[in-house]
Amino acid sequence: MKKIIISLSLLSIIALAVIGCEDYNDLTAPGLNLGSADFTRFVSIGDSWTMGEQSSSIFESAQMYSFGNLIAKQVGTTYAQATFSEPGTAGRLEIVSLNPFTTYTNPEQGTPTNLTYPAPYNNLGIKGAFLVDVLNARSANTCYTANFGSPNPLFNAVLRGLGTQLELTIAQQPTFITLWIGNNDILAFASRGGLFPPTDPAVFQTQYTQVLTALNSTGAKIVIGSLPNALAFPYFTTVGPSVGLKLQTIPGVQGLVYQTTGAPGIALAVPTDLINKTVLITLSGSSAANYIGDTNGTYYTVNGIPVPPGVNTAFPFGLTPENPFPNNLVLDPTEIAAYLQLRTGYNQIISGLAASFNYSVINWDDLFNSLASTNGLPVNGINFSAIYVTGNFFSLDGINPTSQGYGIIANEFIKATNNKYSASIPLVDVSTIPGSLVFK
Amino acid sequence: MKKYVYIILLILGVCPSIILAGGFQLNEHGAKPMGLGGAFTAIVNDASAVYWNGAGLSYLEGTNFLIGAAIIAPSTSFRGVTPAIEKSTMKSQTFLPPHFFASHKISNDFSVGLGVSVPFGLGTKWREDWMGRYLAVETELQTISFPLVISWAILENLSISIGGSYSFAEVLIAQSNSQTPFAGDAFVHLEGDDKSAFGYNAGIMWKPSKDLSIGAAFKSEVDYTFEGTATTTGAEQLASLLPQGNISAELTTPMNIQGGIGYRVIEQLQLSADFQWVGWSSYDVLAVDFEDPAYDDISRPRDYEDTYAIRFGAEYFLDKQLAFLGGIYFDKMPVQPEYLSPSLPDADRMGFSIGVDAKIFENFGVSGSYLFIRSSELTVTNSREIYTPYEEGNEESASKFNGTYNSSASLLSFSLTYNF
Repeated sequence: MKKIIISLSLLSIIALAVIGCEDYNDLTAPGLNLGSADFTRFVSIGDSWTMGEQSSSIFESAQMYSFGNLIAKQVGTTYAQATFSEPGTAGRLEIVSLNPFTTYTNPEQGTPTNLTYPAPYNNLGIKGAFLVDVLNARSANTCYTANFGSPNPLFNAVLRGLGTQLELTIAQQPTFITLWIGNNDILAFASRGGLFPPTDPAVFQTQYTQVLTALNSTGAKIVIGSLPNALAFPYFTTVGPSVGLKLQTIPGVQGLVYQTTGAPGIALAVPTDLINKTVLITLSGSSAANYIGDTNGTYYTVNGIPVPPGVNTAFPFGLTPENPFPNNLVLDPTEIAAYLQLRTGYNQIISGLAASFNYSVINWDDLFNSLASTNGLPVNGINFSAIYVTGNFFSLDGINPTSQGYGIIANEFIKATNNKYSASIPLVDVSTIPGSLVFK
Repeated sequence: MKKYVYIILLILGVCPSIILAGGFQLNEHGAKPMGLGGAFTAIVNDASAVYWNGAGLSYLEGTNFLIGAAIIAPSTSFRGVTPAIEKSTMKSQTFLPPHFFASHKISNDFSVGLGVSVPFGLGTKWREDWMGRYLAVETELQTISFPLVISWAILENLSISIGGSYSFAEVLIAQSNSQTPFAGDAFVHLEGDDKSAFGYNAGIMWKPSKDLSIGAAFKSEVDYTFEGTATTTGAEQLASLLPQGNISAELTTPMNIQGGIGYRVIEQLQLSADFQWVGWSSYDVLAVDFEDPAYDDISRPRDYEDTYAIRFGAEYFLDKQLAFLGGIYFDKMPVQPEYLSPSLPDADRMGFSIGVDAKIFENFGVSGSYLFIRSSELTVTNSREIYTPYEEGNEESASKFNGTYNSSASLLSFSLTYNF
């Protein structure tokens, strides 16, 4: 018996010794080649696309995938942001049902979760920022849209009274900057059906020069985003074609009668104009589109909008000159042409200045043309297109990308950096980024 | 005391080793064979012959019982996905496959045996939020087999056996599904069982001299048809798209042919060696069919290949009461790295075992053994397992689950024998 006990104890000792053998080779992470770029202090200046807005809201689970934060993760640097808890800065769009497709605007509001960060944020993107704001805005009340009666509280949240976007950038002694500003200077015009004044190109030139001159003095490497053609975004391409198809099925209807800015004040879009997108209806017009033909003024009463002077809601809505489709929801051929001309002009200004300072500029046209093409753009196994919801790229507001969309944007910045500064920063695997269209 | 240490070190140094076969086959049917590295086909001398080689029953006198269990504690880590080296560790689980065998010599010519054992089984569990969650979160397979064997002593030193087995099995597969472009994951839970599957077996054992024995055993494939249900939880807006309802799946466990030789080198030492061939090519695809045609059937190629294991064992008889066991084996993985899934990590394995076999009383024995299995580190660079959402037709550009697997397992087994 004693022998048995001894041998069993020995057995256990040896067993323990063998368990301890569990080891393996250490793996080493691949080296990171940043070339001449230096991300030690990385700052982003911009608007909602830089801030990481999705579905009309800024919320933490979306901000995690702001393109700046994705780049920061690829290069392993810190990147502080003005984060908001779910569901973010009021008004997040959420999906109620897929068939029929209906959304809901979440009235709840999150709270700032990084207010006490002891330095300026690395992400100085502010939803709604215009070019001039980079230079001048210090608070909600001093931002550009405050002049139009819309003080933007996000300036308080991001700047925290410490200075302008430009000042806070310089204060961080940045080594690397992404600058993507100016979108709102024309987008505000387009998204409001041509009713918001675009920034004058000469003013744009002056302001952009000021910004770039100041940033150049920091010695930082800078990658600049040009202005994409927003008219290819689902915000402008989703409602019109479906209205056009619907109108084709109503006997005796010639097309959509809508209000215009210039004389004669009324115009007709035949269904093919809408289907071929020579006249655009914004996503904000999706509610109005549901009431085309209505003779009770329901669009106005449901949305709490006063009936405009001269409109008689007893006539079929959107089908008659007496009750036209509202001007602010339609971009007509004149306005489309104006937008495109402005965009070309701004982009020439941006690339001209960038060239003179020797900075790289990202031209977005290839990307957005691919997204708008029939086959879309496959990335890491997922098909992306500019189609609303099913295209994967755009969030529910039809303008800002999904988390995966931001991954594609981040990769464009990385490619530009790699090219310009002989770096080889790995691209983001977009398919590892979770889906981000939120269900109610 | 000194003598024991010496002996144990000797066994370790020469060839201590043991078992857990490639794929999801379990070879732990008795503490003694586990202590001998599974090199037991030619020398089986207890009721576990029902599993190892039915022909061995002819050499047992009277009535024999063997009961016991193994404790299996596997551990696996995955580092990746390449180029990342982030480490994910499988949740630790302990498995307790039992074994029970009984035999009886009916006449000088015939012996019968029956038993219960777990020939195939596996269980892997990963964190629900881990990077490979679309490939595997929880996977479980358990088969329970009831073999019945009859052995015929053709000559005094030659016997053959045939037998059949009745088995049932349960399977569980749970994993996340991406809801891209929508936020959040859905969780899919597939469960099924097969209450009756049949197999057959045969064996032969020849003892040309007092010191030499040769044996071979065959176990057939077993076809399982699982019937069960799928449940998926996810966003209610996607409810109509989430797979639900009755499912069926088929699985064929492989044929085994094992041949061995045992030789009593000196009075105190018996050596044994086995070659085991496993027909793993029976497992070519993991397929789950949904009864409702609205849902896409699951079909994942596995393309297992036939494989083998080489086993060596040594038994040192200290005296009439006590023997030390040692074993070592090499077990070739049946799956090609490109098809390797975290639901069943695999690699070429080495097993090292030690054990003791003791006779407490004339007709009552106890044996215990420990087996350590070390899988060789396996780095997958050409995986075909796509671990992120993708659309059909984009398989080439989709993201593959490349990375480095490391696995090991510790097994402890105890058996009691009783004969009269």
